[in-house]
This record gives sequence, C-alpha cells and structure tokens, in this order.
Amino acid sequence: MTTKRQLTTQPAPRRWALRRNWRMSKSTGRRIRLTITYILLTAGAITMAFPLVWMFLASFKPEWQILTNPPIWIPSKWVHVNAGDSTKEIALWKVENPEGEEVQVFTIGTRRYTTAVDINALADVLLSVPADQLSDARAQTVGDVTLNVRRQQGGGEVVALARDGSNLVVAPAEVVAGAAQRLPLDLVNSGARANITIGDYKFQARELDEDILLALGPESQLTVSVPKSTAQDIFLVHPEELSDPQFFHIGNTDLQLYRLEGRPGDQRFVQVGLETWQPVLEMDEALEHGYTIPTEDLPGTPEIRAFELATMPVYTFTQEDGSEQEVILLTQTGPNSFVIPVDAATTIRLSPLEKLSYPFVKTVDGVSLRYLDDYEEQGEKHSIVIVGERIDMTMVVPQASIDEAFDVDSGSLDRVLKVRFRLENYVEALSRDVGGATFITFYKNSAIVVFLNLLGTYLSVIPVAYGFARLEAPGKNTLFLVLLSTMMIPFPVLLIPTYEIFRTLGMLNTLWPLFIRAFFGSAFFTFLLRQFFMNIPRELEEAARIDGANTLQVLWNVILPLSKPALLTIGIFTFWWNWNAFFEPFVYVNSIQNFTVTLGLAFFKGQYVYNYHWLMAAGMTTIIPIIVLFFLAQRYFIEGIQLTGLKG
Amino acid sequence: MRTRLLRLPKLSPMARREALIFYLCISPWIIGFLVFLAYPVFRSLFLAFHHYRIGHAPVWNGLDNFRHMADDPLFSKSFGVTLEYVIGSVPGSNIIALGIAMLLAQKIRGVGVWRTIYFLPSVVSIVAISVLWSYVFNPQYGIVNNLLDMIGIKGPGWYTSETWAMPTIVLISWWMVGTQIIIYLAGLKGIPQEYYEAVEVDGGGPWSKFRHITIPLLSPVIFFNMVMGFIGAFQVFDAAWILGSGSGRPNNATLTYMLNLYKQAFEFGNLGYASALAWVLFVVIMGLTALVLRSSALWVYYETEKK
Repeated sequence: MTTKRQLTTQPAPRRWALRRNWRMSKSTGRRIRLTITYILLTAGAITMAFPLVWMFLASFKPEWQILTNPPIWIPSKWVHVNAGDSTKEIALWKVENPEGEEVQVFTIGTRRYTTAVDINALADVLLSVPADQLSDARAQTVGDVTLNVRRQQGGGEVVALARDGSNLVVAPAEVVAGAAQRLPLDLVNSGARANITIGDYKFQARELDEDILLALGPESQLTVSVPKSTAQDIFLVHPEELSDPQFFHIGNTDLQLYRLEGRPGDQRFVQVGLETWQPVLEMDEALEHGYTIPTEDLPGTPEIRAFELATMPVYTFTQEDGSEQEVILLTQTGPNSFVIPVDAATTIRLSPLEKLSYPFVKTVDGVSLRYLDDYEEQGEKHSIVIVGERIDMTMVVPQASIDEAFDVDSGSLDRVLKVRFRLENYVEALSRDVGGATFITFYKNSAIVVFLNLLGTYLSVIPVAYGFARLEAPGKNTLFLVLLSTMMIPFPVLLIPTYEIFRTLGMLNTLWPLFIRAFFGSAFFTFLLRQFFMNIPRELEEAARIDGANTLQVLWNVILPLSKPALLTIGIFTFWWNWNAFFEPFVYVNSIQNFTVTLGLAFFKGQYVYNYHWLMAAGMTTIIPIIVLFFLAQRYFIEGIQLTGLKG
Repeated sequence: MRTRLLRLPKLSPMARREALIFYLCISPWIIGFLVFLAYPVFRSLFLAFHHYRIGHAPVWNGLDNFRHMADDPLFSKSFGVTLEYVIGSVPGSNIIALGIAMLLAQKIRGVGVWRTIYFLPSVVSIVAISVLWSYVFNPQYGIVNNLLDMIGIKGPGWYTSETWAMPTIVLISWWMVGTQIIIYLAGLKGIPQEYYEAVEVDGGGPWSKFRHITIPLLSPVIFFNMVMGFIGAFQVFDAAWILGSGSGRPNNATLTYMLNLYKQAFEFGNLGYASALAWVLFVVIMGLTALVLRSSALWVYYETEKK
C-alpha cells in the first residue's frame, strides 16, 4: 500500500490503474448500454409501426368504431339478439343488475329526467350578472340533484336561470340545490306554459300543481333493462291488435301495457318497441306462384289477415272459370297487380327496414319487383322480393316474462361487443364508385404501367449499360459524363415541356406518359448496371467470343446470368417507384378510367373524406403489393439503397 | 462536320465495327436524352422568358416572369412554406435516422427484424401515408389527439390548423426515414472498429467516440444525406396535396412551391410563368447544394487513401 501511494505521482501506473478500474466496470457498462439500446429500439419501433398497425386495424372496423374517444383498439361488432322468431335484431348491452352482477340485457323503455326548480322559492336570491363574468357550465352534483354549475368571477358557484339581455340571471348553487328536484321531463313538459316575471326578470316556466317549475337540466335518462333471455318471448303485433292501454312501473319508468285482441286469457303484454317493417317473400316462390292480373279485377277492399309472420291484405277474386281464389296482393305497377295465392305464400315474413336499403329492381310480367340477392337472415343469405306495404308493428312481450326487469341510468349501459374483423370494408371500398371507375380499374392500370416500365427499363438499360461498360468508341467518355450529369436535373424543369410533348403526341389522359420514357433508358439504372458489368471478368466474355458467340449471345448467355442481383434491384426499384408515383400520373392523366392506384386513392379520399373505414381498407390494398415485395426482396432494396447512397 | 466524319476511317475495321455496335447499343438513351432531356431543358429555359398559354404562341416578355415573382403573394407564401418544410424536415429526419442507425449498429439481436420495422414506413407511397395521416391526426377524434387527451393535453388542429399544417407534414418526413437509416448504417459499418478501441484506450467515453470518431468519419454520408434531403424537400408535393385537399388549405398554409407551380401551370395555364418558377427552384437547389459543398471543406472529413 505504501509503495503504491508513493507511486501515484508517477503518470504511467496511474493510467494503468484507471484502465484497470474501467475494465472491471466494462461488462456492467456494456450491459446497461445494451439495455438502454433495446429500450430505445423498442420505443422507436412502436412509434414507427404504430400508424401502420392502426391503419391495418381500422381497415377492419365498422364505421362507428373509426372515430371514438376513448379509442377502440380491436375491431369488433355489436352483439345482437333476435326478437323472438322475427328477423329483428335487438342490441345487447352490459350493465350491473341490482344484485351487482354484470348481466347482458336489452332495453324496453326509457324515461328522460331533468332537474327542475320552483322559481318562487328563489325570488329573493336572484342576481343579474354579465355573461362574460361566468365560466362555462359544468354538470355537478350538489346535494341530491345534478346542476349545471358556473363559477362567477369573484363570487361563488351559481346556476343560470334565464337570459337578461347580455346578462344571465343566476342564483347561488346551494340555494337552487335546496329547492330543486329531479322530475320526469314529460311530466314537466305536460305543465302549461307560464311566462312569469319576478322582479325585473322574465322566466319561461311551466305551471304544474300550483308550482311554477323551471327546467334547469342537465337531462338524464333511465332505461328499463331486461335479461337477454327475455328476447325469445318477443313477438310482433299489428297496432290494431292492441287494446286496453295501461301504465305500469319499473322503478321510476312507465311502461305501456296492453291486452291483445283475440288472445284468450287475462295475459297482458308490455310494449317493447315500435318498428317499421316491410313484408318480404322468397324470390323463387314469388316467381313460381305469383302472377299478374289487372288491378281492376280485384274487389274494392281487402281483408287484412294476420299470417304466421306477417299481416297482409287478402283479396278474394273470381277467376275466369268462375271459381273464387284468395290472393295476397304483393305489388302494383300502374294498372297491373302482382298477386300470389294465399296457399302458395308460405315464406311471407316481415323484415326490418334497415336491412332493405338499396334494393335492385327488375320487371317481371308487367310489374316492377324490388329485390335483394344477398339478404341476410340468421346467418344465411336469401334472395327475396320486397312486397306489400310497410307496416308499423309493435313488439310486445308477455308481462310475466319481464319480472326480472330493472331500471338503470342510460349512461351506465355499455354495448356488448364481439371481436370481428370486418372484411366487408375491403369489398365495399374496392367496389365503390370513384367518379365512374372502381379500384379494380386502378389496379389494372397500375399493373400495366408497372409491367411496361419493367419491360422498357430492361430493354433499354441493358444494352446501354453494356455499351458503356464494355465497348470502345470515340466520344464514349464524354457521353458517359453527360449521362451522369443528367441525374442532376430536377424534374420540375422538365415538367412543362414534357407535358407539351405528350400533348403534341396526343398521349395526355392515356397511360403512355407513365411508361414511354422507360424505353429510352434511365441514367440512374444505367450507371448502376454499368458498374456491375464492369466487375464481371472480361475473360469470361472473351472465352465465349472465341467460341464464336456474337455480342447479343455474349450478353444473353454470359453477362445477364451473372448480373441477376443488379437486374433484380433495378426491377424492384422500377416497381417500387412506379407503383407509388403520384405527381407525374397526376399531371398527365385526368380521366378517371386511366388512374393508377395512387391517383385513385387520392381521389377516393376526396370523395369519401370521412369514410375512414373505406379509406383505410383502400389504402391497405394499395400498400400490400409493395409490402409483400419488400418482404420477399428486402436484401435488394437495402443493397440498392446502399449502392446509390454510397456511390451516387 | 466533314473533319469529324473523316476521323472515323482512321479506326481499324474492328474498332469501327465496335464503335458502330456501341452507338447502336446506346441509341435508346441518346434518343431519350435528346427528346426527353435536352430539348425540354432548352424549351423550358426558353419558356421562362415568355408569356405562354397552351395553344398560343409564346410571346417574349424578357424578365417579366421573374419580376412578377417579386410581387406575387403566392410565390412568397409558397417559398416560405417550403422553406419551413425544408428546415423542419431535413435536419430533423437526419438526426432521427442517424440516432436509429447508431442503435442498429450495436451488437444487437435480430437486426433484420428491427431494420424491417424501421424501414417499412418508407416503402409505402406518400399518398397512402397522407391518407393515413389525415385519419391519425384527425383533430377531433384522431388517435393522436385521443392519446394526448389521455395524458391531459389538448391536441392542436394538426393539418386543419394554419400553424400546425406544415409541422404535420414535417412529421411524415420524420417518420419515413428508412432510406437515410440504411445509408447511415452502411456508413457506420464502414468505420473501422480499431478507431473506437483507440478512444477506449485513451479513456474516452461514448460521447468522445461519437464526437471524435463517428461524426468525422460519417461526415461524407451525412453530407450526402443532407444534400439529397434538401433536393427532395424543396420539391415536396404529395403530402401537401392530400392533406391540404389539393388547394393549400388552410389559408395556403400547405401551399408548397411545387403545389404553387402545379397550380400556375395546370390550373391557371400560365406555362411561361411556371417554367420560370421551375428555373428559380432549380437555381435555389443548385445554389444551396453548392453552398453545402463549399462549406463541406470545413466539416466533411475525407480519408485520403492513396495507394
């Protein structure tokens, strides 16, 4: 130790000691550094990958999940349950029942509430305050009620009650809270309008049981929920079948209760909802058994008859042979009526209107039939005809079935979700009309452009590069310098004359401008290939020549097989740049029939600005070919870039 | 011409044949060069001094096109917008790319996978990315503002806000840095390991290694990436067109130089003026490149390896 201390003044050992120290910590230091490296790499990779992952996920989401806060990460769909035997789907919700268990429910009725106050109770505390001295209103629970509370500058919390010019009439929140109560909105609104003046202030209130009520909000809503299993008891009835309306309460919400005409027993039914329905019929059945008769042959008034799954007008008309035939009127076009015998109509049923948007029309036997080919019903596709008149039907459920009903605040209901990647987005996006064409056309155009660019590039670049690499001629070096210098010219300078050239040649609005120049060589690819050719030993070529091969044979049999990597790089870059190109196609092509995918996507965005689910699906399809190419040939991408980066 | 022609017979028949094949081989390029490069360059220079609308004869107007730029508010606006983009995009994306490349140059596992992830954004078209950006940066419900909202920050209006429109487009360039990463990575791989070891021997830490070895030896690559970045950034168009709905929205905040040039040429039909604009851009880019080139003597370190 003593010797060492003495030696510390000497420079050499000190350095040695330092190094030693440093060496001991080297492995830990390296480990820490590596850990930091991995953390940073992961963070960076997440940032880099996130937008593309988000795009991928969004391309499978239904439209309602596209712009939400908080975000919905995994594409999913709403879960529905069928209402009894009908094809009506009822939304399912998740909620805690009174026992505190989470249950799946559907809702059968709501009631809106508001906070109301008797204005007379506040007469002494009213105050007029300039609006700009008040903060924005914020819903806040004070005492037993929820109020829209504002903060007054230099004062306390207040509730605004009425306007007074540019001022607001306010009262202290605490006083309001003491006098206010939560009341059903329909009850408050059932009071007579009362324009009342207190002091200098005017109020628009309602008079109810001698109270002058002022609705203050915020409004809330209670929902009656019943367990999912109850859905199987729902059935549809025609409004005319309902009789003896009564009210009945679940918690604080009123539900309508009816008897049904013609149903035995003392059974009462709860109204679950009202819905407009449309009768539909299997297409095969309609075409096989339906026929056209003159409308005037039908007797004046039909009998409205309830079938198993629908209620339809039934006519009894006399056939030519004198026998009587009961028919259902399906549709009318001008003087013609399309009918089907009652016995033959076995598939008539009701369909909710929302499933019948955008039907097709065809004419059969003098009448127009509206039909759908891909009507989905309980997971199966049907071909159906839309027949008869729309009917407002009531969905009811026996009172006995809803003994587990309870009411909850609407805000506490959450949709029941199921993970589902919506592939339909892709089908819809690709078949969507973009100003007279679809993405299928754009794909075809892009494929043509890319193919002809590849062809043109190879046909022109190979001989040019070979010439510069192997052949001797006067002026060669000068020409090569010219070739290199052309890489420096930025394209904006060439843009307008090139446009003129294509215009003169009549090539504007065709695909020609997008590939024709590839047939005349490219300085960049020529340079790249020439460098590669230069590295192929001349001896190989000379050996072939001694065997009697001409230039073309040498090129084909000796040079090209050895140049595969460079040729692949050129091909990949040609594909990459032309597939992604936007500016030049944008300038030279105006007719939508000749759009490439990139152009198509840009205009698709112009047309479907907020349909992000389609935009993302369309976007995905335009980037997938490039991404696949990248994964197949990553090496060539990277080597190509290194080559251009380090030698260019 | 006659003397030139007379020179050819001096070659031996073999050499003459070879020269003939040479010119035959490169003839596609010569035609392409004359038609699609040489002629357009001169034509565009010619048009820059003319008043020219398509279908009419060009009318000489001297320097009027260039004088007009001085009091054309769209010119100054678009120049400013482009400068904003260049200043935001080039240094930023180079710093990010260099940082990532340095991480990737460490002895880490699965370099291929990391490289793929970092490169992937750069393979797809800017049009698709801009469409994606319009969704991700949607001011109301976009995921970026949603995430900011979660940590209590109220996000800006991004591409719909006059202040933030250009920064949003700059962000695209910061994200698509795959090409630069690969070039930097190749550059970093070319630095001999012994140099770093020498710094270690001298007791230098990571910063000294970066400052005294990485930066000087990488400076030619940095120089190359910067120049290429400047050239590309001055011509920015695609993202601005998509995010600005093709019209430089909002309030010309995304009216880049190329967008303005495009509108002058193909929307307003002022082809002469647009040609002049193209030449001004060319001169600006060349001037800037020359400036960087001149200054490179001060900071670019070239190893003199003369054998």
